[in-house]
Amino acid sequence: MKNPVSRRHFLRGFGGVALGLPFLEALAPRRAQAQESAIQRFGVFYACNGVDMSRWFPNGAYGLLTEQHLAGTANDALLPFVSKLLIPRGLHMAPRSGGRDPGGGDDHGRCMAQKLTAYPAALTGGLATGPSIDYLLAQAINPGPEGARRPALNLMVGRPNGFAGLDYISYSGPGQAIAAVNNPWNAYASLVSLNTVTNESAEARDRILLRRQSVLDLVQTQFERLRRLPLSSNDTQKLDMHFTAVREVEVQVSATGLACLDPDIEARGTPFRGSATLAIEEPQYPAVADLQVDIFALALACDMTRVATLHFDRGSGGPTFRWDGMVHTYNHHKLSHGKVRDDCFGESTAGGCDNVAGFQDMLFDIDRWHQRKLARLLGRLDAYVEADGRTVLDNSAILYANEMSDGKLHSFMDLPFIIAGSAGGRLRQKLYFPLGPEGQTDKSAPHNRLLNTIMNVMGVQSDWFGVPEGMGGATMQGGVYDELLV
Amino acid sequence: MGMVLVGVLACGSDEDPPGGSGPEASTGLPEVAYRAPAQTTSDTRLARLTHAQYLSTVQDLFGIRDSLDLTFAPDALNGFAFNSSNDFRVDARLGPQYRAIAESVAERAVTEPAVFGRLVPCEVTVADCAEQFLGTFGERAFRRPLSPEELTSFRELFTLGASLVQSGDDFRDGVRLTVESMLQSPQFLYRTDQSLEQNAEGRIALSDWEVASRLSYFLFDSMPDPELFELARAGQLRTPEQVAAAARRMLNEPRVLDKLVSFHEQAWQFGRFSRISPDPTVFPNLPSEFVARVRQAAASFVEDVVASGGGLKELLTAPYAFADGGLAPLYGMTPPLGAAPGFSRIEFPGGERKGLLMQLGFLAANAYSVRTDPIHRGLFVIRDLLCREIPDPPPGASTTPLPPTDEPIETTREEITLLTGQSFCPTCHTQINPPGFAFEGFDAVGQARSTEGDVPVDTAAEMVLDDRWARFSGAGELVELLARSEEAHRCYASRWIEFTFGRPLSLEDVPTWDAMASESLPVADIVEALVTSPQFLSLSASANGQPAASPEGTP
Repeated sequence: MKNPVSRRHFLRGFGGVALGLPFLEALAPRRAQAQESAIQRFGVFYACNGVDMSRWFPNGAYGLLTEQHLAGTANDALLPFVSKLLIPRGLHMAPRSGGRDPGGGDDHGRCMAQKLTAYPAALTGGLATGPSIDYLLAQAINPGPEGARRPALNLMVGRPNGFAGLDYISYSGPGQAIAAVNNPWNAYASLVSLNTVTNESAEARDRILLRRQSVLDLVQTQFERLRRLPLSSNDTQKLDMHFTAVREVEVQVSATGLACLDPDIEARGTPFRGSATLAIEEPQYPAVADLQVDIFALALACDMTRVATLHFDRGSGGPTFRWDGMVHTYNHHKLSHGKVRDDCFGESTAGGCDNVAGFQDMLFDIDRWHQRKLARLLGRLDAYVEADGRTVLDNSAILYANEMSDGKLHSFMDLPFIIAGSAGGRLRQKLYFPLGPEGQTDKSAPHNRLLNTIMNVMGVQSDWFGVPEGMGGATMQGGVYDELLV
Repeated sequence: MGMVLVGVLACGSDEDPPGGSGPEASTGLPEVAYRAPAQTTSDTRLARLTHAQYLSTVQDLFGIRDSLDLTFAPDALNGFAFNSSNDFRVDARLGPQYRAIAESVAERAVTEPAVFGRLVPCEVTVADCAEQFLGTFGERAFRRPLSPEELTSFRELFTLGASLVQSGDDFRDGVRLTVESMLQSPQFLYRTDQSLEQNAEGRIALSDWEVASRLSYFLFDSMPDPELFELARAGQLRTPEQVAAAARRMLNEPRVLDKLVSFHEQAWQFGRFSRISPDPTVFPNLPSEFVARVRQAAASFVEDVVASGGGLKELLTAPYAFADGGLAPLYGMTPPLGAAPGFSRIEFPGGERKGLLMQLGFLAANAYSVRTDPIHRGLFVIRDLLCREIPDPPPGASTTPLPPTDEPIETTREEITLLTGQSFCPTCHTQINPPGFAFEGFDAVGQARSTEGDVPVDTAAEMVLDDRWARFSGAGELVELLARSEEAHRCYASRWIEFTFGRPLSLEDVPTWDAMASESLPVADIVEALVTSPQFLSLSASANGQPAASPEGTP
């Protein structure tokens, strides 16, 4: 419910003062909500430091994906969902790292910054130079009040380290990283407090809305007062971004009618209450992982957001896995290099730098642990049945991505990807499909085209994803991988 | 001499920095690239409160002491700038969170009598009580008196309270709406500098109120206290002398110490402590919670130096440390029997250890699980203490194999020298490695050692410092050289400028920079130099920018 007077007041208030673009957008007519039978969701599940390549991919021929394909691989936890998986093979990152295409950051930094953006990392600071797919999709398909857009839900497990390029996978624009929420209590509390299902009457809700609108009208006047100052373009952008973020008021009720308060999550999250950024200690890691997965699923199922990401720690780091049967002495990154120790350089065997005994098995265990968390997510999403008879998982595309393939080589080729869910019947299922050759090739199947495929699958027409052609290296491609579509 | 003379660095500037500590081309010394001041000054008029500042501001404003259950979306850091708060923005997540917390605080303002009493200075039945509330609360919330236009706007909203909230208590409804709206106003959420008039130097002079806020957020990380407000109201924050006097009074408050320690934690990357992961089989003698202990010990040392009137020189060379019963044995000391648990000061007779770089925390944070990490120890000296420009390693650097060699490699130093002597590595590593080798007398957790395996450690090296070759043997000699080096003091001063103004050092800062770097100043004097500088008391003309382009066809 909008107060029409406020719009006139808004225009009058500005008078001859220049209007920035976001303010103009605020005045544009709202797109009518499409009456769709089912809503589509997109999620990203992102792990780091590569995988044990010998046991990650399906076991057997391309084509129909069977349980035998997954048995004994890192993905065996996904067996219950075998009919809902699409595993493309042979993709490489584009732009490429390893010095092959322009860009800053080391190999790990580039792979963190580029995987969801397909924009090179900046030469200084290592942040991506363009927006990520989760941000773009949220802008396109994540409904907010009155046609505005809600931001994606960005979660992480682990703690930011301050080495900027390695801490983020999501970006709203060049150099504009979106810090994921690593404190599950904060993630949950923000979702439910902003999505309160009020038991009050429609009349009471209207009164709250009117009050918030009246407050916003005054706040808007306060923005206009600052906007009259001579400002640098950076300050102008700041003010416009801020106002765009608050210009719509709402009293939201759940779209799907599900009970979106989860006492179990609340109880498990309470120990993390009270700090803006959780300084997560390693023993907390598995509990935080489960919570973030559950919040991710809840948010998608309850339509608090239609776009969500979850990333596990960071490249060139990661925890030392000492839980769920793992008793490692070295952290994930160190193990990924197959070294006994982190101070063994290159392939040297000097000073006892042999490969750690069983390091490959340790990496395999880490991969399986991550895939069990993915299975937990898929299981939760698959448990919600929607009005069209499909499950929330069926109506979603959940993308598993990893920073690298072979961590020891810092390889950006033959990347592990999985898409779970058909996005409402648009993606092929139960399929293991070669888009490019296996192994170390960077010529045939760029990942920016996979991201572009997902954009189109989610209903956003797009010919190209990532840094414009000619600026990102020779191997990027436009268009979509038709082979993945129904 | 094992050092290769290098040419111009890959990504450095070959210009001398203004202020004149750059190398002379004719001396034949290796060229050194400094982080050069930016050509332009990126001052902002709108510095968004950090989440920590938001919390302490609301606590001070309302007299609330709890944590408010803030669940704000975290801020992203913009690359390697260590104080990027000038760039903090309100995104689509944070905007609605600000609204939610404003509504919850506003509810507390009218339901908790102590909070209400703090906000409303009069009996609500008094005729002009609403006017008094708007004036006094508005001045504290916006950290300056409201303009007549603002008063009119908020008065209107106050009056609407009765119909919009409908609690039955019209006055409280007005207070509640006022608080809700002020806490969502950019004038509250940002430290705004709205002054317009240029002074004789072409800079935009700040008002007393704006200077009060600057002082307060710089030193308290919160809104101005009553004394600062009083000075602003009386127009007593105009001259450098007045501001210096105000700062001296503030420096006596314990909370300022937290901020001064925090500068060092950020500038010197105490965050790296979280990477400490010694191999427990090699170092079974480490106490539990080793990381937390060394971090606490390092912060205690910085705090003690700052509180006792020290500066960079003492931070680098003071011959003592803090340790508890778990850490003292690693220094070869026995904790005194019956000593109270917790940290106490331990002295190093004969100066066997001096300053922060020879304490456990720094040494362990720049080491691997088993072996030392001379590269990162040296990089810290080069990048963080001397502000030299060193690019990140090129792709593949960390997986570069050792070249074949017939000689057996016996020490870390030999291996590093061999590894970084290849290809174009020496471009940077001839600078990085020598100061790192000085610390080879300390193992991966910071214990003193004279041998690595059976081989005596070699801690002698040389580097260019202040345009001259500086030779040292051991970390003790290196830190003494650094403490006397103009380069180090210049670097330290530039980090303070960046921290204080939340932007990169610029050419406009050079006179202030020169004045701060001339000698080893106590931190308190550095603070005074900063708050009395033109950069603190006025804005660069660049803050005015260009007005946004007028859109065509505005409806």
